[in-house]
Amino acid sequence: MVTAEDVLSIASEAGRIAGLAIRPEQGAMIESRLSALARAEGYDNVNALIGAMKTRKDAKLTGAAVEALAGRDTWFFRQREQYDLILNDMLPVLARARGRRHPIRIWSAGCSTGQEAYSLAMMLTEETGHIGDLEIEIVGTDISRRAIERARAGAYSQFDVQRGLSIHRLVKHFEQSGKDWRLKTALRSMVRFEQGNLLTPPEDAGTFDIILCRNVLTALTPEARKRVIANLSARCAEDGYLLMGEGEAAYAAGPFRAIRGQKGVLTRPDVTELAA
Amino acid sequence: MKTCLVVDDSRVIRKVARRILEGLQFDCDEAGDGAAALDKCRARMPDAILLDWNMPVMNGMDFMAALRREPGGDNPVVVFCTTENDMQKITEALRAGADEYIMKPFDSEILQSKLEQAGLL
Repeated sequence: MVTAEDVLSIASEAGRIAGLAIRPEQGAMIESRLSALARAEGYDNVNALIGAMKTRKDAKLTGAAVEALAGRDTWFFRQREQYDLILNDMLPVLARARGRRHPIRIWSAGCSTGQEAYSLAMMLTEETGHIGDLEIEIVGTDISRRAIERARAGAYSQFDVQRGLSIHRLVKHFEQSGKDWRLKTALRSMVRFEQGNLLTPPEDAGTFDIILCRNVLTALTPEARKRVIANLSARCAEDGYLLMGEGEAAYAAGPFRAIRGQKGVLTRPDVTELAA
Repeated sequence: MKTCLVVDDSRVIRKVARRILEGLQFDCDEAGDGAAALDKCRARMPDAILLDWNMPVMNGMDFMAALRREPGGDNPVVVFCTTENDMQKITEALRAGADEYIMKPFDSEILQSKLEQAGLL
C-alpha cells in the first residue's frame, strides 16, 4: 500500500518532470503502474522501489518511475473518424498547398507504444487514391523510453491487435512472432520514433503539417497543458492541423481554432476551410 | 434490433458472449454445434453469427460452407471466435468466407471492436 505521504512526493516529481496531475486518491494507480518497474529493477515490491527513490535520490530511477506513470492506454485506429478526416480532407488540402516540393510531416505527439503512428502508416499504404505519390513522413514521440522501445519493435500482444484492428489489416500488415504479432518491416520503416518530453521546447525549427496529441493533455496539470500547447504551436505549420482527444479541444484555444462539426480537430485561427 | 446466433460447444462461452451481445442491443440465440446452428439458420437467418471452430457433430468451417449454400446464407456476417490463433488458420477462414475473426480469450472490448470492424455496430 502506497502511503499518502508517498503519493504526494511522487505526484510532486511527476508534476515537475512530466506535468502529470496526480491526485491524492490515486495511490492504487501509482501502485499498479509502478509494479512492473519495481520488478524490472529488482525490488521486492513498489514500496521498496519508492523507498529507494527517496533514499538514493537517483534521477534516472525517478525518471523511469515518472515515465511509467505517464503511460497511457492506446489502440489501433482510436477515434477512427479522425483518420478518415486526415485521409479524405487534410491530406488533399495539404497536397495542393505543398505541391511535390516538400514532404507532408505528421507527428504523433505522446505516441505511447506506437499504435497511432502505425495506424497512420497502414492507412497510407492502403489508400493512394486521394494522395497519389505524396511523400509523407511520420514521427512518433513519447516521454517513456520503454514505450518508445516497444513502439520501435512494432510487436504487439494478441489482445492489442484485436483492439481497433480488422482481421484483414492484421493479415496484411503483421507477421506472427511467437505469442506476439509484429508489424512487417516495410511498415515499421515508415515511422520514426524518438523519446521526447512535450514540456520541453522544440530544439529544431522543423514544423509538422498534422499533429496528433490525443488523450495526453487530460492527464496534465493546467500549467503543463499551456506549456505543451505552446510547444505544439511552435511545431505546427501555419496551415497545419492539430487533432486532440474528445473534450480536449478547449485546452488549445488561442494558438488553435476548433473546426466546427469535427470533434477534437483544430487548425490555425486564420485558416478558414478544411473541405477538399 | 439485430440478431446474432452464438455457436459454441461451451455453455460458458455462449453465456459470456450472449451477455456482452445483449448489452450491445443484439437479439441472441444459441447453438452448441454446427448442425444445430444450421437448423436455427434455416428457421430464421440471423444478421450475425459468432462461430467457434472446433465443435462436435459439425465444426465451424463445415457449418460456414453449408450456411453459404443455403438461400440467404450469404447475408449473415460471420465472426469466427476460436482458440485457433495462427496465421494459417486465420487466412483459411477468411478465404472460406469469414468476415471477422476473434482469437480467444476475448472480452467485451474485443468483441465490440470486432463487431464494429464487421460493420455491425
